[in-house]
Amino acid sequence: MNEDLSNLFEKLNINKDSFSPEMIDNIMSIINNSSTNNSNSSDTSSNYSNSKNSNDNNAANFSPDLDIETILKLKNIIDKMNMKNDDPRANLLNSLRPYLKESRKNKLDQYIQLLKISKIIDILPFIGGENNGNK
Amino acid sequence: MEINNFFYNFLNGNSTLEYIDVLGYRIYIDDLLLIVLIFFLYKEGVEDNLLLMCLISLLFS
Repeated sequence: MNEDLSNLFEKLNINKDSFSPEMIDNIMSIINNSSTNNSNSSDTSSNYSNSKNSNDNNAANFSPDLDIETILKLKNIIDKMNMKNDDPRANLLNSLRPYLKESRKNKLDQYIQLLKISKIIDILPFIGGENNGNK
Repeated sequence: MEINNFFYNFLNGNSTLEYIDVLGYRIYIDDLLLIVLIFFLYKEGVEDNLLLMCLISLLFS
């Protein structure tokens, strides 16, 4: 199953190192849960159609919708965060580093992280955030 | 002469602990650098509020 996931990452051009082993385990458990729920529901007879619907509803409530599009969006967000030399603001703060005191250098790292995280806010409208005008 | 020594030491990388006394306040070289940078960005009309907030927070930290 890990080989399948590795192949999937290669096809989607996703860097496997950007996902921790725990994240991969969580993704695999969600996929396994959804597949077992589907197999259980397909084995029941028509007399159990109501229970099948309830199982599907429970499955829908239990596991989040994690499809390829969501993974691609997550990949975009992670790629944007990992771009090191693309942000002129971070470059400006880094250029100040040699001239600052040690205490300010530590704060500088925090602010650079803050700037990286702020990039996510720029991306959010494209994935259905509050400013999504399609509502 | 003090100002000359101040910038001489800074340019030669001797210390970041040099300061200037202005009206009783000690302004270190990195404070001066941040002030000048913030002023420059303001004069250039840069509207990046997050960057300005980061620089001002660094100045007052």
